[in-house]
Order: sequence, then C-alpha cells, then structure tokens
Amino acid sequence: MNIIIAGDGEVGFYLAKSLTELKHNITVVDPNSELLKRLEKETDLLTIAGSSTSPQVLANANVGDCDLFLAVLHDESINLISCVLAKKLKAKKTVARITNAELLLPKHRDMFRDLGVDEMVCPERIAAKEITNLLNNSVATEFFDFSGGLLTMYLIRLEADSPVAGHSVQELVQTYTSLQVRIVAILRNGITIIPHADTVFQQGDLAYLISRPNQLETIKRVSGKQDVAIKKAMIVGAGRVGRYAAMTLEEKIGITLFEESRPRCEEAANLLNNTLIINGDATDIELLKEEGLQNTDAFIAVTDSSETNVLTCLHAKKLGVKRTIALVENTGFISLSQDIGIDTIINKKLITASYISRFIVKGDAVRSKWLSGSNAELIEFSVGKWAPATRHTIRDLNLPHGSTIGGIIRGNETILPTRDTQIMPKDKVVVFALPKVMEQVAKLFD
Amino acid sequence: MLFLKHRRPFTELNPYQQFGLRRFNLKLIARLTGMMLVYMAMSMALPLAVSLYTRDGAQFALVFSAIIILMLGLFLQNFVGRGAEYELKENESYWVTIIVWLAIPACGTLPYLFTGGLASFTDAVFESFSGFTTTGSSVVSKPEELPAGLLVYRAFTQWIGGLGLMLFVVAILRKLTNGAGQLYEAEFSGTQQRKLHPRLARSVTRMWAIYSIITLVMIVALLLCGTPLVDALCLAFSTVSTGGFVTHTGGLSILGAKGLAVATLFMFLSGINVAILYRFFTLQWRRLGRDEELRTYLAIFFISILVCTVSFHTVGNDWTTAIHYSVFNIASTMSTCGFYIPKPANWSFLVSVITFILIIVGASAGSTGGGIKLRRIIILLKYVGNYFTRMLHPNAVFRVKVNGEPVENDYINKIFAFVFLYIAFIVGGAFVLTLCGSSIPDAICMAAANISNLGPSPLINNLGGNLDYTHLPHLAKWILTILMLAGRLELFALIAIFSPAYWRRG
Repeated sequence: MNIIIAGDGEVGFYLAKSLTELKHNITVVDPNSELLKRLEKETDLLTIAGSSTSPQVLANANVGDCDLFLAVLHDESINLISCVLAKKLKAKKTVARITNAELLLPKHRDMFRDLGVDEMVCPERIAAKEITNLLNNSVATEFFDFSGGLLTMYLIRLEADSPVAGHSVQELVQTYTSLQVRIVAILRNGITIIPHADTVFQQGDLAYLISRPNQLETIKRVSGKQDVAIKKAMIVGAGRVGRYAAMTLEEKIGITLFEESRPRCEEAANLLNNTLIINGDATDIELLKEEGLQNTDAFIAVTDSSETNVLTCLHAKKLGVKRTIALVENTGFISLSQDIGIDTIINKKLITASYISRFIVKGDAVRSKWLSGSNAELIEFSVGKWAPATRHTIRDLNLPHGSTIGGIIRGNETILPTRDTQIMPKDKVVVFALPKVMEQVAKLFD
Repeated sequence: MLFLKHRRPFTELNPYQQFGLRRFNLKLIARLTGMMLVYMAMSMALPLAVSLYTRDGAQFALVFSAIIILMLGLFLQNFVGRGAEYELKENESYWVTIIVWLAIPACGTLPYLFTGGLASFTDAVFESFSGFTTTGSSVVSKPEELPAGLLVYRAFTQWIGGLGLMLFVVAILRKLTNGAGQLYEAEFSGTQQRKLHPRLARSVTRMWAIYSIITLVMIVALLLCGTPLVDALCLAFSTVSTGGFVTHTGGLSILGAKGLAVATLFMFLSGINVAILYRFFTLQWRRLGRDEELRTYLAIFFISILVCTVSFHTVGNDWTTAIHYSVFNIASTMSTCGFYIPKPANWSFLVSVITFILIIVGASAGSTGGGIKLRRIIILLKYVGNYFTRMLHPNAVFRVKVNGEPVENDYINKIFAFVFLYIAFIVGGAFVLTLCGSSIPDAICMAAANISNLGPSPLINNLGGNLDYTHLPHLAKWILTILMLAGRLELFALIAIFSPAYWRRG
C-alpha cells in the first residue's frame, strides 16, 4: 500500500515507523528537513521536505498513486487543506487529524466528504472517549469491543490478592470451569509473552483476555478486583483531552477539574456546566487533599507533561484512589508506568495509530487495536471466501510464531477457539499478532 | 474669585477641557433631535384624526402643538444641524439619548397645556414623561372628562416610547452606521441580546413590526369584545407598550369579562422579550422553549398566581374573585403595565409582598416593560450561587451562563452596579417623598413603582380613587418624573453624563 504521511510531530513519525514495519511504502512530507534526514536514516522510507499544502510538493510525493493520504500535523486547518488538495490530485483515500471535535458531528460528514476529506480523526476526542469507557468498566484496565460487543478484549491486571497468581494457565482452566476466556498475551515487565498451557501467572501481570461480555463477573473474581462504582472523579489538566472527558462525564458523575493556567480555566468554564474547575497546581498535594482527593474514585491525569501525569497518579494511588489513568505521550514511559502501578496508560499516538490502521490493513480488517505497553496489535479480520485459513483446523494452520487467534464470530455466535476449531468463510476472526508477522497473518485470511 | 483659587493653572488645560461641550458633535445631536420632533409632529395626525372624528373640540390645541413641534424640529434639523457628520462617539451617544429623552417629552407637554386639560405645568410634565417612559402614572383623576383626541394622544405617547426612542432613531436613521449600536446600547444597557439581523437597523425594524402587529391584533380583539373604538385604541397602546394610562374611572373594569381577559393576555405577552415574540410569530420555535429567561418568566408568573390566589382565598374571598384578581394583578405587575381594577374585599399581606418583589424584578430584558429585568436577576442569582461554592473551594473558576452562553465578568460587575444604583434611587426617591408627606411604605412603593415604569399599583395607599397621583405636591411629582426617566434609561445614560469621570475624559 502506498501511503503518504504529512506530519510534523510525533504522531506522524510514530505512524511512519510502525507502518514501515508492516511493509507499506511510506512517503513522509514535512517542512522540517533536519528531522526528515534523521527519520530516513532510521527507517526505510522516502521523505520529502516541504509543505503539504503545496501541490508541487504533493506531486513530488507522487500523490496520484497513493492509496492513503494521512495528514496528521498539529494544525487542523493545514490537515484539512492538505487532504482536499491530495484528493483533487487523485489520492484514493484521505484522513485528516483534527483538533476540534465539532467537525466529527455526523451532520458535517457529507460536507467534508464532498470537499475531499474522507475520514477525520481527533486523537484528543478518542482519548477522552477511552477514559469514559474505562470509567464505565472498572474491572479491566483497558478494553475493546469487537463486532459490536459480541467479543471483548480485556486487559486485566492481576492484583496481589488474585487467586490465580502463581498458577499456570492450565490450572486456571481446570479450577474455573465456567470461565470461558482466551488468554492471548501476557505483558510482564514490558515483555509480551504468548502464553502456553503451562505458563505461570505472576502478581502484577497484565493479561490480555478475549471473552464474551457475560464473563465479566468471573473475570473479576479471578483477577482479585473489586468492582468500584465511580461517583467522583478528578481530572488534572484542562487541555483538550481533559475538557472532552469532563464534558462527557459531567452529566453522570461529579468532576473536579484542575488546571494551572488561568486562561485555560476560563476556557473550560465557558464549555462545561456541571464541573467544578479549580485553578491550581495539581502537583501540590495539599491542594488535591483540600479538594477531597481521598473521597475520589478515579484520578485522571491528562496534562501536557507525561511526568506530571505519572507522578500525580502515583500520589493519588498512594492516597487510596481506586482508579488512576495517566496520559503518557512518551512511549518509553508506558511500560515503566504500568510497572509502578498506574492502572491505565493512555497514549494519543497509539490511539491515533490504532484508529488510522483500520484504513490500512489488507484482508478486510474491520477493527483493530494497538496495545499500549506492547507493540502487538489485535485485529478483527473478515475471512475471505478462498482464504487459506479455511482449509485446515487451527492445529494445522501453522500460525506464525508471535500470533494467536483470540476468538471467532460466526453470524451472531461467538466461538472461543480450541486447537480443533475450523475457520469458515465469512467468519470474523480476532487475531493477536506482533508486527513482524502481521503481513503473514493477514495473508491467511485474505 | 473663590472658585478661581482652586482651578489649576490655565496652561495645563487643553482647549477641550476648557469648553466641555465643544468636543461633541452638537450638529448631529441637534439634527437627530430635530428629526425626532418632526416625526413626533407627524405622529400627532392620529389623535388629530380621532379628535376631528369625535368632534371633541381639541383639534386646534393638537394642530397648534403639532405645528410648533414641527417648526422646532425643522429648525433644529435643517438650520442648527445642517451639514452634520453622521458619526457618533460613545460619549456622545449618551448625550443624544438624554437630550432626545428630555426634548420629546418636554414638547409632548404642549397638547396638555393648550387644551387646558391639566391643572399646572408640573402636571403636564409629569403626565408627558409618564407617557413616554411607559410608566402610566397619571394626574388625571377622571380621564373620561378629557377630550377623546387628547386621550388617544396620551396613550399614543406610551406607544412611541414603548420600544424606546433610541430604537426609533436607529430605525429611521439608516445613514447612521457608526454609533447606532451605541445608541441602542445607551438605552438598552443591560440586555446583551443577540440581534435579529446582522444590520442593527433591520433588526430594529423587525422589532417595530412585531410590536405594531401585536398592537393591531389587540385593537381588533378589543373591538370584537365590544369595546368602543377610542377605548380600544387607547388601551391597546397602553397595554402593548406596558404603559398603563386608562380611559375611564375604574380602570380596566369597564372592559367587561371578555375584554379584561384579552387585556390580561396582552399584558402577559408584553412582558416577554420582543425578539422572542418575533421568533415565536415567525415560527422559529427551535430552542425557544429552552430560553432561560422565558422559562423563568413563566415559572414566576404561574407560581405567583397560585400563591396569590390561595392567599386571597384564605383571607375570605371566594375562589372566582381570588383567581381573577390574582391573574390580573400579576400580569399587570410583572409586565409593569400598572392597570387598575377594584381590589377584592379582603386584602392579603402576602400578596403585597409578592407584588412588591415583582415590581422591582420587572419584566424580561428586551421587552417594553421596566424593572431590574429578569435576565439580570437570573445572572445575579447564579453568580451568588457560585459565590457560595467559592467559599468551599477558594481556587475554583466559575463562569455564569445564560442559555449556555457565557456571561463576561465585566458585565456582571455592571449588573451589580446597576442593582445598587437602582436600590439607591428607590431609597433616595422614597426619602424625598416622605418629606413631601407620604408614609414610608407608600413612599418606597411609589418610588419603586415609578422607577420600574409600572405607575399605579394597589400597594400605594395615598393615591386618588383611580390610583392617580393628583394630590401629590409638586416636588413629589418632579422626583417621580426623574425616577421614571432614570428607570426607562436603565440609569447608566443618566449617570454617565453627571459623573465627573465622564467630563474629565479627554
């Protein structure tokens, strides 16, 4: 697939790197030639220095042959214009990163399609949505629905009092006969393990499970989690993520929003109706205590500084807040933060990449999710009529090492596959795979 | 020489400070005032027609007044104001507002003086200002004895003043593009409403259109209820403008049950923002029901009626009287019309309290009614509510919103100043009125009723039988006149030109 990425920041470069790993032909357009030189040295792609709003530059990037044009600069107006130009220059599909969630309203969709902007992605909005989802589901630290909720991926942290810590996967299956889950991966100290029957769970493991929604109760018991009803939440940082999150949450639960900058507070006050907005430094623990940190059920740190977010979350955790969510932009921090006990890490780059990758992967991938803390990906494939995967049972499929099948959706039925399961055409298959084998896996289902 | 001692050395003064008035665009002010007078003279055709039709003998007085006003207007417009530049600065817009608001009612005294319908010059001034400010306080104890033409003229002055004279200036003066907004602001200092059209002149025309249509509908409705033409005209002008001049002793009780119902309905409508009425009648109903001010208006209206009815019943009136009088009294008070029908046999103190609060609160912003205006009250209540939260959370940041739109803190400060001044005016006015011999409750009610442009109210006990102000001493009448004007101009225009800061500004 020929992909052009117009981007000046981390999202663009992250996308470029990961998409190159997936063996796509990437061209990066960016005004900053210094950065581009560095990128080209590290990664196998083509770079073109120049503005993506220049038709000449776009022509140099061979925009006419590109299957996907991604504009992920910080400035949404540049992104929109770039997409419009690219579309007029015969790019097949265009995606713009935007910052103003208003543009995403369904009533504007056709208008932007007519202009030539096929899809829009607002990382801040998605991050905020993720936060609301996480608060609604208090057991998993992360979850993701496939096929409209027939199958769900949960990321479960095994707490100290989890009954399965120290036991193997096989023992788990034998003890909890009613439990119907597939454990697709375990994340331990930043390393992704694909579990076998005799893999032993340890306290603090992050387990990726695929399961049906009705299994939540059992999963909760197994993981040693208590269900917490979230009535009061604190959000630190009134940037876009914080504001959007407060906007969706404020109707249901009590929100206190902290922000250090006065103008940002005022901006948030104009937007929000039922949120208590406090102008103050969130690293000042006395202030947090004064505003009732101990009585808070969830603590969400989404300032621009990853360090502040991690630190304040740790502090909140220490003071007994049950649920902590931190926005960590620095990908290097993610596994570290998970190790030291923060419940959930949100990363805008990963989220954006997850979202954008649904336009990319071949074999009719319907939805996919890039996992934070691991470089692996969960993809939902629609199985083609003559796909190689339909010829054998899973045992004989020769799935590449580093991939596993998490679940199968056949019509309205869900199947948690065993070694003897046969994949049929038109099935939807949820696959967990590391990037290096993704291409191989995709071929199986095409 | 005493004064000279305190003056700064001559050299420090710039020439503008020396001769305060010269920095104003006097020509334009004269021209605007002149044009207004010409229009006013033309508007006297209606009472003149009525006068000729009913042969009441007032036609000469009306013609003479019209001619004098016309001459004066033409003189100001074409001689004094010749070659005026159509450009107003903010400080000038206050002057225009004040001068027009003084000149028009002052000239409006002429028909009263020429027909000899009123006893003195003070009375004529009182009646004229009361009309143009839509207060409706009257010094005529038996209105039916006035010539029909004069009655219509008197009611018509309210109708002209109803939407505000500046709104009229803006509507007729399309040439004035720079500064029109300031004129609008000077008169409606508190409304902060979104305009109906990007062009001010157009939105003002729309307001006038809806205002005229409502008036016409009311005239027709009253005629259908069997009201005589002159009464229908006068009472429609009085109601839609929220004035309150009546045509007969006994107030609206001459209308009969059906006519009274019509009048009550239109009183209720007149207390609503004209822009909202415009949207309602042009079928733009989207989000109309969510307008906070309208909802508050309705809520207060119905809750007050309920409480008053129950209260009247408990003091020994039958349910019919209780509910009829409550609906009438609340509609008349909230819209600041200030009409009169005979009280029920037993009065209730609770009703007095509610009525007094409603006098001060007044109608919706952007309506023809007076008072502090509901919008300001809503904003203040929200702000005060936030203030209590701030006691618990000292670092909290708040923004008061009305209809989801944030209200600037500057504007809230202005409202606080406004309310303070409003109360100060009531207290100051009441003080002078007690010196003139009123009891303290009467003086306070009278001051409040006049600054809110309500006029007569059943709360005031020392008025004449028809709730008229005839018996008050001259000083009291002048004080009330000032209060009416202050209330109508929402204080700031009046305060601005008397404040030292205004004059010091280079």
